[in-house]
Amino acid sequence: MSVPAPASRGWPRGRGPGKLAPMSATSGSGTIRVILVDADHRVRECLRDLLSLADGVEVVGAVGHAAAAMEVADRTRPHVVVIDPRLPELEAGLALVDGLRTGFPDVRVLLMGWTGALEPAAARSGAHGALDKTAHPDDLVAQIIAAAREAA
Amino acid sequence: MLATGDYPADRTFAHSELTDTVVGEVGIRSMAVAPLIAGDVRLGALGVYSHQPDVFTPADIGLIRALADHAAVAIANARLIEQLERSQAELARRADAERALREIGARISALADVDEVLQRIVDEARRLLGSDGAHLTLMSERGPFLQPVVVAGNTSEVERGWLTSMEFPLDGGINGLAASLRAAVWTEDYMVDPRVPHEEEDQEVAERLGLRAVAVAPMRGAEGAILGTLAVSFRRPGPIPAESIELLQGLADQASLAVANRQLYERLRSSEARYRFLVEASPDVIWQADAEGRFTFVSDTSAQLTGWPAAELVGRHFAEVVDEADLPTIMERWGETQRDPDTLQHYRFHLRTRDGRRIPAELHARGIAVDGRFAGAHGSARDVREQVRLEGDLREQAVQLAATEERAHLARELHDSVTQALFSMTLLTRSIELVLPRNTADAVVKLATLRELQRDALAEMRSLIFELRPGSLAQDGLARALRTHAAALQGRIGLPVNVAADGVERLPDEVEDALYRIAQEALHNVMKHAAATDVRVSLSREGDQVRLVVEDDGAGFDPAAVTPGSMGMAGMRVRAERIGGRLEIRSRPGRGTRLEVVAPLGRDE
Repeated sequence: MSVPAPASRGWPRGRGPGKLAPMSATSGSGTIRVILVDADHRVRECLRDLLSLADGVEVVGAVGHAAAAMEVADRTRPHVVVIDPRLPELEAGLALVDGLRTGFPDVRVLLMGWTGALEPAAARSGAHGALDKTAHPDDLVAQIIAAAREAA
Repeated sequence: MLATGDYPADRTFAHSELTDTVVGEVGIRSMAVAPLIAGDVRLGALGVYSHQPDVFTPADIGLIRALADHAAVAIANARLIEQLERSQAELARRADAERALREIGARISALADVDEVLQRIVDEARRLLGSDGAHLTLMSERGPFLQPVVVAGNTSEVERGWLTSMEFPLDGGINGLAASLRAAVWTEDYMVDPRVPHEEEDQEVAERLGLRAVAVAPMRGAEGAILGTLAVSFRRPGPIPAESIELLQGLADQASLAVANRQLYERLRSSEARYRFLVEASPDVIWQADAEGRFTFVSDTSAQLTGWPAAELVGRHFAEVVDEADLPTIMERWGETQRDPDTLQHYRFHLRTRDGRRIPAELHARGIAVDGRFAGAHGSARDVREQVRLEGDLREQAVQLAATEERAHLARELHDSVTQALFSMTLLTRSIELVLPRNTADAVVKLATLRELQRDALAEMRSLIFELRPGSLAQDGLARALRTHAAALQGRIGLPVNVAADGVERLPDEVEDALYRIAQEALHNVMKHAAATDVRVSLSREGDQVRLVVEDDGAGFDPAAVTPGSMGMAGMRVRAERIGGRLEIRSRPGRGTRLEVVAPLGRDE
């Protein structure tokens, strides 16, 4: 599968506070349901916070391990699942990707991690795309919304 | 019965020229002849004659007949008696032979000197078979030859020396023939028998020894091997009766037994010699004890290892050379050996030397059963001081290696955790940026969260630096290091770790180091496996002891099911032991885990 190139590094000067336009997901297709999977609770909470500020995005689950992710996915039928595959071992995360792809064929699965380590893992796993943690937060949100549109 | 009044003229019976001439010369006219018959056997005839014709009356003839019958019975009796006497002599001869065989057998069983037994067999062969000479050959060790080694006692020294220097080939001579055929052979006359080769040399031997009638029986060993031959010879040619051959073979069989016994005995002796060499050359103490546990044999190496000369240990109970602390275990093992003598026991224990020192040793022991009953034990004991030292070094190295890996792993984790914290802060900062114009109150709450994140990240950074720069423990002290580490964990996985370390001042460096590493490993395990919601670390000082407890309310485990050698556990245990402490882990599935280390502080203070 093809792996999208990570979003550009650095913080574009043009972006300032107040505008949520590029993050809007309201285009008549309803709310985007997202599940976040990361072993680090701080990342889960902060990403949930940021995503909930975007219109039309609902974080239906933020969990720290694979079993919980499968359970929540089964219950909420999300459009996108964002996974940091180190749960805590990389293999656990890649197995989760596999499980989601098999159990929920319509779900878009995005891996999230650091540039370099992420791409080979994404290519190996069968995920639909990869999010670079060093990218601008707005780009991360935009990529998640874009992935949901592909799914729709 | 035949009677005639005029022999020459009577034509009622057949005449022969010879008898008629005799009758004519003697002037026989009247003649009466009665047959001598006993049972159905014709023994001969009784005859009377006269120069006068027609002399014998019927009464005379009746008398002659009666006399003949008497004579026949007398002759038959005499023959029967003679036969009886002959069979009695035969019986006596057989008894003699049997006695000889029995006596030789007894000597073989008694493991008497084999040369003496063989000499006796040769002499008995000569005596029982009534021969002039007898000799015994054995297979040569140098090749396929039969070598005469024993000759009958009546042989002269010169002949004896000459004969025992000979070698008979297997494909020549009557000895070789018997050996090749694996059966007794005999000849009426050796000098002319076509079955044996008659080369000049053989003839010389035969002539010199006076070999005419000869009988040879092979000595057969196990699995058909030929060990040698037994031969008797007569100076005159003539037949040798079957029972003599039988007797000769019997004696040869006895000789085979004696020779085979000697070979077995020699093998036993050489294996005993080898065993003795091993015992003497072995650095181990080889020992044997009786059913009560008293030494019956101890090898000389005992003196070096235990300080007890071997001779002084014999008769003493093994408990005298066992360290008191190990005695209960040793007695238990001894009991097992009594119940099951065949099982090899192999374990370590401590020897107690004569001057009271403890020496680590390795024991191999097996019971000795005689007729299914325990009769003692034997085995070896080895000094393993060097081995124990090396094992200790190896374990130390393994622990150090594990510690290095542990440290690198932890540093990686901390680094990752700090990075995650920074990522979280980035996301949160963007959220605050977006919220600030619309909802100041929310922004303030988020700023407070941001400060928390920063504080955790700082603790993690300190912890990370601590791992990368081990000198920090010595600088900060154990209590503070535990708090920093707990804070880092709390920040990273959101697990509250409560540290109670009040009133504990600085401890000796090695104690602080060991306890810190143990706590770190324990917390690492909690984090990884326990799924706990509450973790408590407590450090307390009680007199000259320090106690570290790490407990959680998590998943717990079955301590019996955990491999005791698993690196984390072994590492913690070794660290505790190294500071003279004791580590105890209590856990049950679903009921949390409690780890406790109690270590003495007496040493450095």
